[in-house]
Amino acid sequence: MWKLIAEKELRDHLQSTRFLVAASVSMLLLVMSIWMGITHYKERVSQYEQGVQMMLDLASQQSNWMTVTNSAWRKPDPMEILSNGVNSDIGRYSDIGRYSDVRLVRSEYSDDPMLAAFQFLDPTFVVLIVLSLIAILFTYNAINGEKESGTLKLVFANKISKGEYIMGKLIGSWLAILAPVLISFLIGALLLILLGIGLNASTWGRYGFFFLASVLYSTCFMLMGVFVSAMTHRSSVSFLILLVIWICAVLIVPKAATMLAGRAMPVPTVDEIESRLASYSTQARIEFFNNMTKRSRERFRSMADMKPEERQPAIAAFQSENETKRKEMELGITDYSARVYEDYYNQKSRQELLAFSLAKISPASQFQLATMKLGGTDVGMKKRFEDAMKEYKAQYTNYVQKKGGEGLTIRMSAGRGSTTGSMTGPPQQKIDISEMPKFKDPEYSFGTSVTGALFDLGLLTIFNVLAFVGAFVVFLRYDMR
Amino acid sequence: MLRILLEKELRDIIYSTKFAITFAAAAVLVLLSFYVGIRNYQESIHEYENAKTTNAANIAAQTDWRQIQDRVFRRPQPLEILVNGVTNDVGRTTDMRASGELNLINSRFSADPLFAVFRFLDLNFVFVIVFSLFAILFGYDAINGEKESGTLKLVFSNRISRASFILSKLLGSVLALGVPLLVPLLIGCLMLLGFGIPMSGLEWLRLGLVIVAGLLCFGVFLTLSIMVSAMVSRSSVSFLLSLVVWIFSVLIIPKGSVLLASQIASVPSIDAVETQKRKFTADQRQKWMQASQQWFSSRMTSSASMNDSGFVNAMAAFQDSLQKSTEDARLEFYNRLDEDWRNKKDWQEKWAFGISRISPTAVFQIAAMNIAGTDVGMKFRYMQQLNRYREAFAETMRKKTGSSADYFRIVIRRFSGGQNDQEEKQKSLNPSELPEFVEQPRSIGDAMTASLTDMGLLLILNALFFAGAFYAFLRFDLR
Repeated sequence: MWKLIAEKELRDHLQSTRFLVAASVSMLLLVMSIWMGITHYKERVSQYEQGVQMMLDLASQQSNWMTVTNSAWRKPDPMEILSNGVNSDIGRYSDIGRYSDVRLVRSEYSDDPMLAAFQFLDPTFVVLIVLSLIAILFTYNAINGEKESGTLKLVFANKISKGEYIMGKLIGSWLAILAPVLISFLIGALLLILLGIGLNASTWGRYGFFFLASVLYSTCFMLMGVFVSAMTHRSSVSFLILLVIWICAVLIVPKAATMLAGRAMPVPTVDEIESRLASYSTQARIEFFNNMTKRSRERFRSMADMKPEERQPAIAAFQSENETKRKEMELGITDYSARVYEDYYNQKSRQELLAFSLAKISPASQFQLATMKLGGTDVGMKKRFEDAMKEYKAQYTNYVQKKGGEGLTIRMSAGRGSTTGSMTGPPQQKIDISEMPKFKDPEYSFGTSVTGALFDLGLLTIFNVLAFVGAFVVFLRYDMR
Repeated sequence: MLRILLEKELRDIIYSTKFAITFAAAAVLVLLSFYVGIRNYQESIHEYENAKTTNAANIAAQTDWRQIQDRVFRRPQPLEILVNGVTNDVGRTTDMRASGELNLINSRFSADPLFAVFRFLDLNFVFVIVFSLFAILFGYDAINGEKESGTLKLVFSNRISRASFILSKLLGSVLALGVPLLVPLLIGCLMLLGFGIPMSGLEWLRLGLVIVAGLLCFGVFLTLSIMVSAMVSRSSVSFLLSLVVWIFSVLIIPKGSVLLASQIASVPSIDAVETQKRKFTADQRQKWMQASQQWFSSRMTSSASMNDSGFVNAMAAFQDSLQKSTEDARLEFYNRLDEDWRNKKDWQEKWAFGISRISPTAVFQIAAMNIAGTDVGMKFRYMQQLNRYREAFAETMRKKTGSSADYFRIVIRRFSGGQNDQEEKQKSLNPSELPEFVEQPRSIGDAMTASLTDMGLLLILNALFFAGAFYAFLRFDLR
């Protein structure tokens, strides 16, 4: 019997203007957003390739490793098409060098505020806002609408159990929502293939999970629609209630949660961290310099009486001693900075945990967080890349040191009363960059992304089950008169 | 007659459940956006002051002007909290240098992606998404809803002209919805006062303009949906139509226009510009090294004594002139590149915003950002001011250090051979000797001119849809 009702429900939906308009709009939007994402991705790939190539070109023209400005570029991931997340907010590359800190700079939005003004349209956004609205639109009068039009009484004049009826209703509406989503994701997949976005098994898997998340999310709003509709007797009231729920879930809860977490657990800003580090390293350098001045004064005095042939090795010894001291100082600075950053990231991750735990009351945030994980554009993206870049920096500086990156050197020999010096620049031949270590993007596999999203998907499922049970139970007690 | 109809319309709307619920939701959102903004502002001002103090302390810890690392921070502006615009995406910190290119780094969202995930709730967002949705909710069945419930026929069984009916509908909805919305907005303004957000008279004026623009945008959607309602005989269809219009104007057109513009007017990637700059700088460095090497070699072979103070002075003079010519050449080259890129970009932005103006919400957004000074030109304007400040900074540094060279410098320290064992007492620096960077907010005249077209456009759209609704109802089939 429930099959018959589901069939009737589905037919009702499919034949309505509402379905025609809503389905075509959602399909258009989803396909368009995927297409826009693909265009954006391709642009980013060409930007990335150009950037890397230009950096290498520039490096190969140098005659000394000292003057090379190396940089590590973030390679675009095709799954960013699905969820742009924080992708355009964090920098695209970081300069890599012995004296420069790893810092992702020049985010897409800061380079081009025009993009920031309206932001990108990604499928996550379409599902988040449009599909949920449509799901509500489909079901807000599922029960009380039938009552208002009088068909509910007619149906129950036949031998139908309430349980069967509500099951049929739910399944019918669900299929009506599923159809446009499924079709647009299939078209999207086709677009991805036709426009030559190289996807492998892992990325297809993430695409599949993204589809699953979208279905779970829109089902959730559909079930809530039926639930509220079975609790009220007038469809205009149920629509309003649902709209308020929608506004809270999609617009308010996520934003308010981060705001609250920011207030409850304040974390020092990056500026503050950086100036703390700057003041530490300044202090260390001053100390080192003063110490060196003192030591050289002593050294010069003791050398004054030496014979010239003794003097050369003494100067060399002094220089190497200075070098070790300098290295010690630099190591101290690196250590300190690592400690400060670790502390910072610990605080930060506690704050994030709080923010997201609060936000997860809303299915919209559950969905958004899950898709960001699937797209690899979650809040941890910045740290993931910066960590990989820090590792790369160590590798690279090691390599350069081995290559003997030499700058301007001034040699001096101090004699009594007069000093003579000579200055040599680096050799004037081009360096060979073919063996320079290359930056590898941090691993972000199917496993990591799905495990990351699994918890949120689980929550979403639980939400679905609750709404389903709620709709079912409430309808069993529904007053049909 | 008009007055009776108007009164009835007002009563109808204000006594409805729909009004109670939506008004409560709108009021909560408006107040929340003000509160969030105020808190945000207080926090960022606090962070800004902190950063400045630490920076000054860092300078004070130094004893040599040549070694300071000065940082300049962008001061949060009160209006940014209500219309975020691009402010959270534009960097806030600059390493100040006497020469070389200045960069803005550490934008709020890049420094802290947590806030980029869901972004902030600002007044602009409430106007664009929530108010427009509410306008539709009240307008979609204004005419055909009455027909469906049969009241339309009843009304016209009296001696009422169509014109006065539709006029009372339109005016009634605008008054019944627009005026109550002013209440939370005014409370929000009082909150600004209560929390002691420092706003100048001009800033209040700007805020007023933003609110006017927002209400105009609300009016556009209200009259538009009433027009749709007078064109379609079934309210469910008119709701769908209005919703589709809403989805397109809020979500699709603005975002799509940017993408479309980048296809129409392509701009070379900013990285290409950056690479050209880097290449130029690398060449300059090479040249610098060669020149210094030559200079040194020629001097040293001429058996000049490095202890000679004449030598040190000559070296400083040489480095200075080298620095100046290098920096001048750099500036000229960079400025040419930047200007060229900027021109192309301007053209692209014109396209993007031109296309996006099909959507009334985009028109409002552009107007609001321009008024609040958080529009796309914000970064460029700020950089210009920074570059002007840099001249004052460089001048001070020249006075303090006798040279404006700040990268590549050879400093010769002479150790006085032994008598003076105690280190020369080194005085710590006084950071207040540096000129202070005071940001000039965008002038109100500028902001007004920039937003004039959009304000006008909103007005015109209002008038257009008003007339459209009027005309459509005159031809409406009452049966």
